[in-house]
Amino acid sequence: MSLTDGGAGATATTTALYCLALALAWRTSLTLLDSRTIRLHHPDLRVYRPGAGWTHPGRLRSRWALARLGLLLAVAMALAPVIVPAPWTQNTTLALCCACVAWLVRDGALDTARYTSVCMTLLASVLVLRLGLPLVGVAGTVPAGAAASLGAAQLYLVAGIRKLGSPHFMSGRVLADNIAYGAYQARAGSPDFFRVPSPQVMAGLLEGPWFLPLLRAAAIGAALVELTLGLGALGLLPGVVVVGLAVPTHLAFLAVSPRRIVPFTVASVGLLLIAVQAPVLR
Amino acid sequence: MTGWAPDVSALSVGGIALLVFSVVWGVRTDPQKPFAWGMYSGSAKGFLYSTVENRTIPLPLEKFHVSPDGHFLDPVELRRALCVPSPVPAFDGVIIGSKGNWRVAYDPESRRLRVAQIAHGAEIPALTCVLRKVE
Repeated sequence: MSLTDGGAGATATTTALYCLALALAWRTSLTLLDSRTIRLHHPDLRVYRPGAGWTHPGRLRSRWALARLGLLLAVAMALAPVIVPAPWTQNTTLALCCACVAWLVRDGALDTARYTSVCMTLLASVLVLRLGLPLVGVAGTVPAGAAASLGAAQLYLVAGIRKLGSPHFMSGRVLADNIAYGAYQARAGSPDFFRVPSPQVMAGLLEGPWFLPLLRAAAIGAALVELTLGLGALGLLPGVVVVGLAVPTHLAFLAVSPRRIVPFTVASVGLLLIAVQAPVLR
Repeated sequence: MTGWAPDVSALSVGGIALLVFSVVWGVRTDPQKPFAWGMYSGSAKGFLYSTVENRTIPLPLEKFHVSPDGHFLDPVELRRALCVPSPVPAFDGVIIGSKGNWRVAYDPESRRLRVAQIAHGAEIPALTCVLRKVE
């Protein structure tokens, strides 16, 4: 399979495409699994979404139908580079990426656009640039790389600055609260979190001398890494360093939200893969 | 087929200017807006439980009508979630977060949620007490 001209750029583009497909598949699967939970416990389809209010049954049904379509789209995106014959691979993949952008816009209209949606839309859009500009005689690497570079830099710089400006985060307490919450909700039966540590072990950790200082250090490190990734995405660091730093950082956040943060994780890594091909400062 | 490649320096200067504007905007705006990237810079988590036959049972989200992905909860949101005709069991617990820490208690007969602020510095002991209690 070959998307574009071959070499490291094609590998990065293909990997970024798979990141987008995985993000979309995971995201839509979560929506469909949530639909089962809602139907089971709330037959009237009225649940409260903090920050977004009460759900409307008609909108929920529309969102679930769109999720089923999105899952099919994700499978098509993953299979296209493998099963579509060479002359048509790039155009087919381009069409699927365009469909993904349209899907994300529609999903954002049905549901409040949140971080994951915006990050996936950024990635899908830069893939459209990467694959589509050659059709009109423009090399896609530089514009797509620059757009991804600016998008990723804005993401990580804003996220890092917000964390630095949050005393609750910088004290390690956001991490502690989230880990404790995960342990508690896992005990309550939520599939979103790991069942370890148990709430009782978590209580011991919070009362002990080293856990909170460790989380404080982790929080400071996370904020500084995000700023570094933001500057690195602009081209101030080698691409291999940027991606090498991003992967373990995002994996570490999976410990806090193992299920729900996966789409954002893979989409942001995919965005970085395109960014480091042609960052805006190079 | 090789194509035209844009002027990198013009792209860089314009891009950096756009970036600076968008970063300043992103940092200053409502953290819930697109491109504001406020995830994990704050949190508010509910540790709610019901007591049944002397057993302390952690409450899953569906028991108080919160969506399966509704993992951000403060007293205002909890009050809104309780505005339903369907029954909600009695519960107690704590809410721990960036904007404050509270003890909460819900009485289904009067449909009243009592909220009391936890003194600064007492939130970790309040939380560990709940964590140790649950089965």
